[in-house]
Amino acid sequence: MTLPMTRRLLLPLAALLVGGAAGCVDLKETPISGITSSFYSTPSGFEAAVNSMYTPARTHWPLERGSTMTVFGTDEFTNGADGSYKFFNTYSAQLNGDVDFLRDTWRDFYQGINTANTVIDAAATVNLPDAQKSLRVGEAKFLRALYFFTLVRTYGAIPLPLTPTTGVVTETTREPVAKVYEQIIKDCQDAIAALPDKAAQFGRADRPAAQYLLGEVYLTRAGGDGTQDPLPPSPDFALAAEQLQAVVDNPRFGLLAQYKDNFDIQNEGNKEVVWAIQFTNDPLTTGDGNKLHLYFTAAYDLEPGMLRDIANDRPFRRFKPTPWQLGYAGFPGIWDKTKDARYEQMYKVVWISNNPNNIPKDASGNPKYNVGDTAVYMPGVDYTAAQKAAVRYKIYGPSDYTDAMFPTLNKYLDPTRTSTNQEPGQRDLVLFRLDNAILMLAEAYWRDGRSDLAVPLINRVRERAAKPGMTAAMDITIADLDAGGINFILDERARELTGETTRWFDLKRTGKLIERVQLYNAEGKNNIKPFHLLRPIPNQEILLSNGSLTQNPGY
Amino acid sequence: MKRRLITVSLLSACALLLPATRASAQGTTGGITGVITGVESNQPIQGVRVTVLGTQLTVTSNPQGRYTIAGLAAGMYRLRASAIGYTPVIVDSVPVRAGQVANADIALRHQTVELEKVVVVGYGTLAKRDVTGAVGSVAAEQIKQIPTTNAIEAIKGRVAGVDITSTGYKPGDGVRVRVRGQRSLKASNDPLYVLDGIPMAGGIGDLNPGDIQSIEVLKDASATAIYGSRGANGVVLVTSKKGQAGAMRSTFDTYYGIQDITRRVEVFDAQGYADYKREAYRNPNSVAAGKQPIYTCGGVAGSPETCPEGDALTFYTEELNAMKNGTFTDWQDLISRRGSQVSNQVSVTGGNERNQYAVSGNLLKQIGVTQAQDYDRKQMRVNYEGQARDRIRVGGSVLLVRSLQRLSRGDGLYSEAIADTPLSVPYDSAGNLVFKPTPDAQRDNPLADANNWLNDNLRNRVFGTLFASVDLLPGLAYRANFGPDLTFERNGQFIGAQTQANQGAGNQAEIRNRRTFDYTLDNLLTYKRELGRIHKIDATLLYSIEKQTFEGDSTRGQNFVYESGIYENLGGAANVERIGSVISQWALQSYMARLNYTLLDKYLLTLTTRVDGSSRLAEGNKYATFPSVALGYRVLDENANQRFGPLNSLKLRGSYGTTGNTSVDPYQTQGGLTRTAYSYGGAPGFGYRPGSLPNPALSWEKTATVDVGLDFGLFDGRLTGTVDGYRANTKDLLMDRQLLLWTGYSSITQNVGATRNTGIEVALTGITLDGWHGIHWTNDVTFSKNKNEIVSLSNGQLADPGNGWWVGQPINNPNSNSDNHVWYDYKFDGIWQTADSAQARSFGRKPGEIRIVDANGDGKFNASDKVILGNTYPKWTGSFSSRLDYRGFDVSLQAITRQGFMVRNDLQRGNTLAGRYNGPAVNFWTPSNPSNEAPRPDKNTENPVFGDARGYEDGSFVKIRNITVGATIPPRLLTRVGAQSARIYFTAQDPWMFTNTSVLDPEGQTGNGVPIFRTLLIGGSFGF
Repeated sequence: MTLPMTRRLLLPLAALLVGGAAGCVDLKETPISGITSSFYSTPSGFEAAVNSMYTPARTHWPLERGSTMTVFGTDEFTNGADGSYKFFNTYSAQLNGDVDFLRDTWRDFYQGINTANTVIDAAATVNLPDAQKSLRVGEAKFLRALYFFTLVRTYGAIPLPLTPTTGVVTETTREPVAKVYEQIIKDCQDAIAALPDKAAQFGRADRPAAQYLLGEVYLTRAGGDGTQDPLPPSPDFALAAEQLQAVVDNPRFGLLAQYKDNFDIQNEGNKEVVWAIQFTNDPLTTGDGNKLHLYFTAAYDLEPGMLRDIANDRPFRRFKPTPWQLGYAGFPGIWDKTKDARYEQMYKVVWISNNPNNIPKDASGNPKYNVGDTAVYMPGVDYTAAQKAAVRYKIYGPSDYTDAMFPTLNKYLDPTRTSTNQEPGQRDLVLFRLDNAILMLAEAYWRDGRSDLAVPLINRVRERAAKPGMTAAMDITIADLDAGGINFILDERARELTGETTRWFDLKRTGKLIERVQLYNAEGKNNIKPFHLLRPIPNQEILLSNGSLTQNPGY
Repeated sequence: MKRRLITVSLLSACALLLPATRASAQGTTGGITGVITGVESNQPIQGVRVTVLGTQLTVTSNPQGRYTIAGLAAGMYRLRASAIGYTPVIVDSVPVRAGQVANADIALRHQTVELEKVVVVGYGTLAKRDVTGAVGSVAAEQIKQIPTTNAIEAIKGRVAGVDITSTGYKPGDGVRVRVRGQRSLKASNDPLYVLDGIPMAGGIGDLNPGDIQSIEVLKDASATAIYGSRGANGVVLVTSKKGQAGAMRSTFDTYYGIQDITRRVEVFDAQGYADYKREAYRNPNSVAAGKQPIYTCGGVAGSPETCPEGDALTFYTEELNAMKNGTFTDWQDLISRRGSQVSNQVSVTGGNERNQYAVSGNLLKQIGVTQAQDYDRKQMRVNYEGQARDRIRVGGSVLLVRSLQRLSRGDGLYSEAIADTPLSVPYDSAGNLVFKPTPDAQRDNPLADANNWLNDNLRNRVFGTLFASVDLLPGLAYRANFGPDLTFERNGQFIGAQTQANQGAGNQAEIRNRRTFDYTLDNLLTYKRELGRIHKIDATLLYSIEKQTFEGDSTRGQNFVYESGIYENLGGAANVERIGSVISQWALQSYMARLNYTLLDKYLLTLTTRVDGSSRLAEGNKYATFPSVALGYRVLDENANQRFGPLNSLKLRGSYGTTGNTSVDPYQTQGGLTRTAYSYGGAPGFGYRPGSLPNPALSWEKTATVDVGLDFGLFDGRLTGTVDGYRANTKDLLMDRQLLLWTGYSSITQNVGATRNTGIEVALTGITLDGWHGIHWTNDVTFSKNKNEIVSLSNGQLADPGNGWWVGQPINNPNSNSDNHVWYDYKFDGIWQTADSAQARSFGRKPGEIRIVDANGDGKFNASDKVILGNTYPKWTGSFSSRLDYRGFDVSLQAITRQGFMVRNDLQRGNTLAGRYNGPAVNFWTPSNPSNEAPRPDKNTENPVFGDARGYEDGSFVKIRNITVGATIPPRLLTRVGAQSARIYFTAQDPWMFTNTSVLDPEGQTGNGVPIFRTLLIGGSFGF
C-alpha cells in the first residue's frame, strides 16, 4: 500500500471518529412527562400544590387505617371475625412500632405538612394576586394544623417542620406537646383570619372549618395527656366554647330533620356538614375512595336465602359493636330504644332474601319464603326456641351474635357502587358535623361550669333524635347533666356519633380511655395500660434518626 | 473538553499502531501463489494468513481464497497458513525460482479440539486458547436440543456460574438469569444481552433458538469490562447463523410435542374436605359465648352421624346435595389439559465468495397445560453479507417477530381451582356452566374465569443490524455497526362480569401500549499483527453510542354495556378509571480500547479500558472509566506438543477489572413531583406534591472483580476442563436510602453500601469413548458455588429489617415474587398440644394453634421473635450432560441440580383452614389427633395466627432436564426424495424431578399457579 492511499483512507476515518465524537449524544436529561419542583413557582404549579395538600386526609380516616385507629380499642367497638389489625383492639404486644398503619399515618400526614410548607413557602414568590395567595395560605395553615393535631394526639411530642424539606436530614428532635399545640393554634388563628365564611368550592377549607378545628384543639389541649380524670380547670374550655359557638351560631348550618338524613348518600353537602373529605363517583378523581362501608358489615352473605349484593355491601366484618353499646350480656345498652330513634336509624338488622337458590325448605320441601321476604332478622332481644320456630326467617338474638354476624352500622353503606366487590365508595366522609360541634360546645360549657348553657345544646341534639311523640321525653335537665358528668357526655356522644372516627380521641381527651376499655371492651380490657394513651413512634423512623428519636415508653 | 481529549488520544493511539510502509523487493526474485480452500466445504477461504517461515512476510488470502507472495529470493521456503477456526497447516519445501511464481494450494481443516474453538468475546472473536477471561460458550447443537420458547433457557446447565431459573410455567413465561450471583439491591441484576454486537434490551426471548449459531457468556471483569457500565451482571453474546458461500442449502426443522402436568397440588378430596370443614365449625373458638357448639345435639358432643343437624349448619345446600348425590369435582383437573408445542422452521442459506445470505422463518405455537392459555410466535429473519469492493464488506440483518401470549387469569386460575370446594359441580344438569358453585362471595367457577378473563400480551418487534467494514491496511480494519431496535407491546386486559373479580356484576377493560426505540452506533477500529513468532497484537478501539426512547400509554375503563367488545372498545366504558402516558429517554456514550498481546505464543496479556457516560447520572458524575487487566500463561501448549505426564495443555489465567451499573430509571437525579387527585364537591382538583428528593450526586455503582482460572487438557485432550475462582466486590450500590419520613419524602436513590460475591466454577468435558467400536461418548459436568453477601449498608447499619437487608446475609428482594429472598419470619415449632395448655396460655395461645419459637426468650410472642430462617440462594448448582453417538444414532441426557436453598411454600401459608376454602390436604390437629403439622381448623380465623411460619422448606432438587434419542438417516436413502440430510429425534423435556419439597416446583412455582409440566416430542431436521 502506498502512502497516498493510506492518507486517502485515514482522512475519512479520522473524520468519522471525530465526527462521531463531535456529534455525540447529549447526556443532559430533560424530563418531559414528569415535572420538577420549579413548577411550584408558576401559578398553576402553586394551585397544584394546594390541591395535593388535601389528599392525605383521604388516605387516613376514610380507609381501614384511620378507622382502625379510632374505632378499635374503645367502648363502642371490638374486633369482628376478620382483619389483621385486631391488636389495635386487644392492645396486645403486636401493637408496636413496626405496624404499617402507624408508619403510614406518620408518613402521609408529614407528606401533607411538607406540601403545605411548600405552598406557604412558594406564596412568597408566585405571581398571583395577594388575595388569592392569602386564601391558599389559609387553606395550607388549616390543613397543616389538622395534620399536626392528629399527629400530636397520636404520638405525643413530634418533629415540627415549618419549612419545606430541601435536602437529606439525618437527625431530628421531638418538640414538646405544648409547643406543637401553640403552633397548631397559631395556624388555626391565621386560617380563621384568611379564610372566607364559605369556600368558593365545596370541600375546601373555610372559616367555620377552622373555627371547628380550633375549638376541638382547645378542648383537647385542656384534656392534657389523657391520664387525668377529673380534669383540672383550664382557660382552654372558654376558648374552645368561643370557637365552637361561632360554628353553632353560623346561619349556614343547622340540624337536619331526622338523624338518619345525615347518612342519605343522595343528601351530601347538606346544612349539617361543616367540613367533609370529598369523594366522587369518578374513578379519575376519587382515588381509593371511601372504604368505610366495608368494615362494619356483617357476613350476611353466608346466611340462608342471601347472597352478596351491592345494596347489602361487601362484608369485611372488622368492627363489631360491643355489648355495652348494643345492650346485652348484662349491659343495658346506650340507647333508650323506647324514645330514641338513633339505634334503629343507624343499624341495619334486617336482611331481605335475594338468593332463591339458598332459601331453606320446610318439611314439605317448599321454600320457607321467597326472594324479597325477610331472610335474617336481629330483633335486639333473644327469642325462645318456640318463638324462633314460629318465624320462617332466621333470628339472631343478641346471644346469637358471632364475630361475623351482628347488627351492621349503616352510616357508610354505599349502594351506589357499581359492582358487588367494588371497594372504593363515593360517600363523602364528614369529618366535622354540626351535631358534633354542638356536643363539643356543650362539653366545653359544662367543663367551664356553665351547665345552664350546655343542657339546651344537648337537648337540641337529643330532641332531633326522638321517636315521634317523644321529643320532650328526650330532654335532660341540668341536674341530669351534673349527675352524669363526663360519662353522660361521652355516652351521648356514643349515641350520636357511633363509629364516626372520633371515639378513641374523645376517650383519651376526657381521661376515660383506659377506664372505659376495661369496663366495656372484653377483648381489650386485660391488656390496656396507661402507656397505650400514646401510639408508638414508627420503629423505622427511630432507626433512621441516628438515635435522635426515642420510642414512647412502654413499647 | 474531556470528550475532545479522548478523541485525540484515540487518534494518536491508532497512529502509533500504523505500520511503516514497506518498499517492495526488486530484482531477481520469484513468488508463491495459491488458493486456500476448506477441506469440508471445498470452498475458498478468505482472510487466511500465510506466513513465510523464517521471514517477516505475511499475506492474507483474498475473497477468492488466493494469496500471493512476491519478492522472494530463489530457494526453498516453508509456509504456514492459519485462520481462526482452522487448524494451522505448514507446507514444507516450496521451491521458488527467480522470475517465476510457484503454486502452492492449501487445504485447511476446521478445528475440532475444544481448546482451539473460536469464541466471541465482544467486539470480535478470539481463539479459545488465546482467551484470558472467563467465558462460557454454548454451541448451536446444544441450543437446538432444548425445545424451548425462550432461547436463553437452552443454555441452562451448560455454563458454570450461570444460574437460570424459570419464573413460571404459563406459556411464554420468562426466566431469571444471574451470572455469578447478584450484586445490586435496586439496580437491575440482569445480564446484558448482545445479538451480533448490538445490545438487545429486554432479553432474547424474541429470538428463535434455531437461528442461533452460538451463545457466549462473559463472566469476569476482563471479559465484561469492554461493556463497561453494562457489564457488571455479565454479558450474554448471541451470534446468529450466517450464510456460507456455496450452493444454496435449505433446511426444514420441525417438532411436535405434547405437554402434561407432572405435579399437582394435593388438596382435600371430598371426604377430607367435609371432615376439615366440620372440624372448623366444631372448634370451640367458633362458638359464640354461651352457645352450644355445633354437633352437640341434645347437649352431647356428637358426630355427623349422630347429629346431622350439625351438617345442615355447616355446609351450603350445594355441598349437602353433592354429598347426598356423590357428585364431586376435581377443579384442578377441570382447568388443566394436555398442552402442546409445535415449531416449524425453514432456513435457506447460500451465496458465493462475495455475497452470502441466510433467510429463515419460524412458526411456534404452544397450547398451555391450562385452559385459555397459549403462546403464538411468528418470526422471520434475513441476513446478508457482501463484499462491496475488495476492501469493503457490508451486511445487515432484519428480525421480525410477532408474538401473542394469552394468559386469561394467569396463575389465579389455579388459586381458584384449589380453593373451590370439591363438594360442588361445574355444570348444572342441563350442561350449562354454573358460575357460582356455592354462594361463597369470593369463589366462582374457574372455567368462568377462563372464559371471561383476558390478559393478552402482543409484541411486535423489528430488530436490525447494519455494518460496513473496510480493510484499511494489512491488519487494520474499520467497522461501523448500526443497530435499530423497535418494540411495540400491547397488553389488553378484560375482566368480564362472570369472574372472580367481579362476582357477576360490572366489568373492566384496559389497554396498555409500550413503544421502545433503541439504537446503537459503534465505530470500531481493529488492528491485528504478528511480528514474527514473538509478538502478536490484536487491538480494538471503539466509540459507541446507545440511545433509548420509551413511550407508554394506558387507558382503563369500567362498566361496558356489552362484553363482546372486550378491551377493543374502550370508548364504550361508562367510566374511565385511568388514563395515562409517559415518555422516558436515556443515552449512553462510550469509548473503549482493548489490547490483546501474545508473547512467544506463551504469555498472554489483555488490557481494556472503557469510558462510559450515562445520561441517567448526575451532572459531573456522568462519566466513569472501567479498566481491566488479564494475564495468561500457556504452561503447556498442545500445538507445540508439550506435555507433562498426562497433561497436554495447561493455561493459567488471572484478571482484575471494574465494571459498572447504571440500571436505575432515568430522571432519578432530578427529583420529581407526584400527581395527586382530589375533588371539591365533584370538581376535579388534581395536584402535584413533592414526590422525590433530587440527588445531584448520583453516581456509578461499581464492581471490582478478581478472577483466577485455569484451562487444562489431559490424555491428549480427552479430558478438558476449566476452573475459575473469583471475588467480586460491588460498592456505591445504587440503593433507595430511606429518609426520615417526617421530611415528607420516603427515600432517595443514593450510592451507599457494598455487596460481595465469592465463588468457584468448574466445567469438565470428557471424551469417554472416541471411536471405540464406532462409539463416541462425551460427558460434561459443571459445578458452581457462589456466596453472596451484603458487606455494608447505609449509615453503617448492620441490619435494615425494614428493607429486609442484613450485613452478612445475601441480597433480599422482598418486593419481587420472582427474585431472590432472605426469609425473615417466625420459626415454626409445631402445634400446641393439650398437655402444654398452661404454657400455651402464658403465650396467649390455645392447644391446636401454631407454636413458634420464642426466639428472644422473653416469654412473649411478638415481632422480635422473627429470625432469619434461610434464603433462596443455592449452596451450589451443577449439571451433567452426556451424549453417545453410534453409527448415525445418538442418545443424550442432561440433568441439573440446585442444592441447599430454602423455598417458602406459599400453598401452606395460604392454607387458612377456616372451613371456608379448600387447600392442600394437611394432617391438622384435633383433640384426638395430636398432629404437629397443621393447626386445628377454625371457622373464625381468617388467617391462623403465625400461619406464615408454616411452609419453609429445603428446596434442593435434581431435574432430568432432557433426554433425546435421534437417528440420522444415511444419505443414500435420501437421494430419491431429493434430501441431503435427515435426522429424526424423540425428546423428553423435564421428564422427572427429584426433590423433597411439596411445592409444585422449587425453582419457579412455589405457590398455587400453573404447575410444572413435561414435554414429549418428536422432531425432524431435513436438509435439501
